[in-house]
Amino acid sequence: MTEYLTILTFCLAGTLSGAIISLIPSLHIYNTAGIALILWTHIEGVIPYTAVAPFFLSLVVAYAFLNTIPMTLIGAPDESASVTILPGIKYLTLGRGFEATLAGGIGSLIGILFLSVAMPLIYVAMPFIHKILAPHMHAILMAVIVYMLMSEWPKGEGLGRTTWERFRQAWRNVFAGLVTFGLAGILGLIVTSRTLVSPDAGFQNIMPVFIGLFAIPGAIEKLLSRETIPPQHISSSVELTRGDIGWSTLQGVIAGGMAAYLPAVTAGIGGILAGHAVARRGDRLFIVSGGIAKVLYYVGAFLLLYCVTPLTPMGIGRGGLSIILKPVLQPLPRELPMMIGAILLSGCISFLLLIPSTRLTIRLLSRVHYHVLYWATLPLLVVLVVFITGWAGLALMLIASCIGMIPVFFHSRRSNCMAVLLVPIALNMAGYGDTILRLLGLD
Amino acid sequence: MDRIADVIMSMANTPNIDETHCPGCGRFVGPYDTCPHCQSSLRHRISLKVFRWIAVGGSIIGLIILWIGLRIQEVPLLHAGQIDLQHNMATARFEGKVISVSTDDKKNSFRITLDDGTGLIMLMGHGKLSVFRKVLGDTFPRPGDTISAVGNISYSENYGLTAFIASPRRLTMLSRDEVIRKELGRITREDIGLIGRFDGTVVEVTPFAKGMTLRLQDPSGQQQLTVFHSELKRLEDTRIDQISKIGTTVRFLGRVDVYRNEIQLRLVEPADPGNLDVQPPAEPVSAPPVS
Repeated sequence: MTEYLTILTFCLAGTLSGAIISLIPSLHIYNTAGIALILWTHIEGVIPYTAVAPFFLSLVVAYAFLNTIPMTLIGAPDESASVTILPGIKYLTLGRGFEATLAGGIGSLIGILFLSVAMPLIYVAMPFIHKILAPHMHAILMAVIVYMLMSEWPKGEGLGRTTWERFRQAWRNVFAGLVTFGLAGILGLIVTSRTLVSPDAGFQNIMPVFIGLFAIPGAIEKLLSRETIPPQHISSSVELTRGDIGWSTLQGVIAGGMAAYLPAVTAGIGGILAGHAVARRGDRLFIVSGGIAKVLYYVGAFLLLYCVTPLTPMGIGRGGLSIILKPVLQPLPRELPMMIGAILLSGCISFLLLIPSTRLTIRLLSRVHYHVLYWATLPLLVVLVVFITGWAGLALMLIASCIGMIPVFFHSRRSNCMAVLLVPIALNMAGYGDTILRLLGLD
Repeated sequence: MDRIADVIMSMANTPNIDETHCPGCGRFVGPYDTCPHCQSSLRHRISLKVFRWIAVGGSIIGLIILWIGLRIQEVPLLHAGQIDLQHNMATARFEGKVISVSTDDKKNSFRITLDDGTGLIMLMGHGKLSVFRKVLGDTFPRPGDTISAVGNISYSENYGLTAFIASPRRLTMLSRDEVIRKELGRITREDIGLIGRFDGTVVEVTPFAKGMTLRLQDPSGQQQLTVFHSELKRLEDTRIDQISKIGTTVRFLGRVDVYRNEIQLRLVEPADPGNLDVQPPAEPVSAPPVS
């Protein structure tokens, strides 16, 4: 009983902490989770071992829900949603930001319910699927890369006075996307071979790169923007039909499933693939399925670690939280029901927290210009990077920021920045890791 | 048609605002230097194009500087004893003595246990054994070698402290002691940990649950050689049969070890044909059964 109460307490604590952290624009939960874990090892006994996984899982569950608020209301997407943010912004400009946030939250709630029901089936089926797919992972990732690039091909209206103008119109975004992808891929190959960051900060050596690629350009974009947030209506209902929920669930589960299982594929990239697979359009569908995909990407990926079977004796570790907790966690299949309970509890509380938090944020934004929030966040991110990874991390962040700003200024997909992980992982899995190291002279 | 094209172009691009409109808010300002609506200056402005090209140029120059910086930078040396949770996923260099080498041809993988004086660290290469063997050749680590390795630290509850080595060029041999030949009767407690070449004739076989103890004899005296079933599994069938026969001559690369205060010899990498040679007796001698 004491153990039950302890786990319950830390579940609630994780949910509340996650909810607060999620409201800070551009701050990723994995950064704070990594720091929290290091603190935990130094202040042993604060969180009992049995409560470590439920605490961190609740933290991530809350993030998957409440991160929708900064994402929709002030346009601060994380790496998982950098391609799925547009419909939310459209709602915001129409004064329906509250509704969009709640629609995303409903999606996340569906995601949690889906995981709770489907996890036993996933536990049985996933090891077999993994056994079949694992040897071909490099080919799958290559296919994802090709699809990602080709789905942006070409954009523009093809209008202009001269042939050159028309050509430029049509290919500018595509070219910017390819440049972003190429540069981010090279950066990924370099930083995964060696890194400037001191080994003492090894646990967060990719953090400056991610903050540089996603958070800083997003913040700069918003600071340069002169758009104002129109008054938002607090509605008591959400425009959704049963059909919307059904199609969103299908699309969200496909997107989230791919993002949870395939390394370096985020919920946003999964969303592009699933969107084409389901072939349904609509902002509502996009927002709700984005919420589902986000939960599967953050939470489902971690739960795969508990698929400990004779076929997968070490589980199928996926996602950032698995990497963060790997040094201290030895997952046992019998703990899976407890984890399902934890996500259900944390998910429902997070949804309940989402409603007043959205109201509060809307009220705050009516009084404080969103530029102020970004001016406060930007130094916070820089201080965080310098504090954890030192000046070398700051240098890395600046380089990544330059790459991350290309899609912002040239209006191409920001998800191309994910090449930072996709390219090195795919090439390493294909067995070219050694050749690449030699070519770069970093062996 | 030109007019229509202009309208569509203006929708597709950033609006082409003339000097009489505020570039900040787009409203009419007439001859003013400062917009009366949004107070932004019309003279002191930097085009977004500048930032665009800063982003492109900065990322290319940054990548080049980063690459050069990393090429000239030494990978920092870490000691196993000082590695903590925060070092997880860091790239670091390790130097120490190889305690054991385990290879798996089927999985094309290897595992090297390194002792750097402060603790043990496992160096691993998944699916890379053939590349490492091809590139390193005779310098592929063996017990007793002092090596330097650059690897990515992985700290996990399941595997403990490991470092994954990505390339054979990240593994260099610093020194290799001459392997001495030692007579069995001259092995003393001072030799514990020594890796050397030994040979002797099997005079007694004592099986135990997980292996067997062979008493070997040479003109200088006798010594025990402990062989585990797990080690035998890696040998060819013929050598397994022969090694337990009395009268067999065994030549091997071995390590002087101690168990329950008694000196014993252990095989070093018996799967490597150069490390173990078994010569059956001239005339078959009956041997006790091995369980």
